[in-house]
Amino acid sequence: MSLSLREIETLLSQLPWRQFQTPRLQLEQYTTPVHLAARIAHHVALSVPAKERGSQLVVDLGTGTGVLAFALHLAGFDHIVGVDIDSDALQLAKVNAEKLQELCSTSAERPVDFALMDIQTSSLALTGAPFDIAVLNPPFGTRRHAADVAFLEVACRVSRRLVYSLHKSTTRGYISKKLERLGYAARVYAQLRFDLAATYAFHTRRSVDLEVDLWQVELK
Amino acid sequence: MRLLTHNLLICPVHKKPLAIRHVTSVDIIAVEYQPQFILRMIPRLDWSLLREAALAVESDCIDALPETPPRPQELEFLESTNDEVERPPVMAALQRLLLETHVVVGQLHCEHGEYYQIDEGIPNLLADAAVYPSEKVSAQASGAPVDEETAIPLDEQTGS
Ligand SMILES: [Zn+2]
Repeated sequence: MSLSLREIETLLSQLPWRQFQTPRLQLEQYTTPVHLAARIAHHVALSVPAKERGSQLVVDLGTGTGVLAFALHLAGFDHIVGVDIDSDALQLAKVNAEKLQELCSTSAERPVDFALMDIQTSSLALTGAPFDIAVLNPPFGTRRHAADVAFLEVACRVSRRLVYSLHKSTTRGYISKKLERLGYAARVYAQLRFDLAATYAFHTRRSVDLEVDLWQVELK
Repeated sequence: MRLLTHNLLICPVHKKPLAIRHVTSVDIIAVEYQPQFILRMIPRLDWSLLREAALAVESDCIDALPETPPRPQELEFLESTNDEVERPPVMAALQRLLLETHVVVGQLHCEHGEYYQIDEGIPNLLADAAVYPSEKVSAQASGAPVDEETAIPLDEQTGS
């Protein structure tokens, strides 16, 4: 199955848990909004030839309620593992998975395998580099500055082929330098807009659009 | 949790492979046959862990798994000389085990003694969720109930 950007967005917007309703600020957790998830999935899909998509093993690190993972499935990826540290979020992801199957009869049953895990290096519960593609939706480093780079390093370790990660555009220089120092070939693949207002209550008075970079790291 | 995913997991504390134990619910969900994906995954698998997992879920597929992993070149040859109706037995077993067998309720045991719970198909690999043998009784008392409706009796799992 490989749907268009518009079809993916339409399906995702009908999921019951598009955002995690009670974000825990300490984890800086949010779920990628629908329009952004659809675009990221579209970009990732375009970088892999259509006939290869179904045989890639993909991990969504910080999957939350699974929106990006489901977007990737709708874009043609069949083997996706979604990991998150929050069991409540994964419960909602399961509800989303059931709804998706209802909405989209061609969607595989249980297209995403979920696991509870802390993706910090010290507590990572994954062996070697089992994945072809890692997609990372890290905290934006507003509270814990180095956190997103630490997660990015983990993403690069568990993947063999490609890593996609979202970072505030204002951190472009910093991320670029870090990745270069780590020896990774990376580039800003696309610039996207993220609406934080939809997630955090304290931002609801005014819309806070955030420019974000979708980074692509090519491994090997 | 598919058995493919299980094969990629390790203990978050000791970084050791995890043995599936005390499985009380398994789902078998048929999906499209994906030989190319399976062939790509074989070199990444911990083969003996997969064999143990097949035993833990009491799958008949164990009979089709050789003691050592097949060489992908051999399988590719088998695959190219067969049509889909006659899948090589190893490939059929791997399709069933890796892609179609989901552990819904069970435990993941580390050789250091602690275990991690699998509930509603989601393994909990958070270090602070590890259950150590001395805590066993309290952990079982607070464990989530088994969803009887999604449970498949073990003797019906291998039917296609
Ligand atoms: Zn352990």
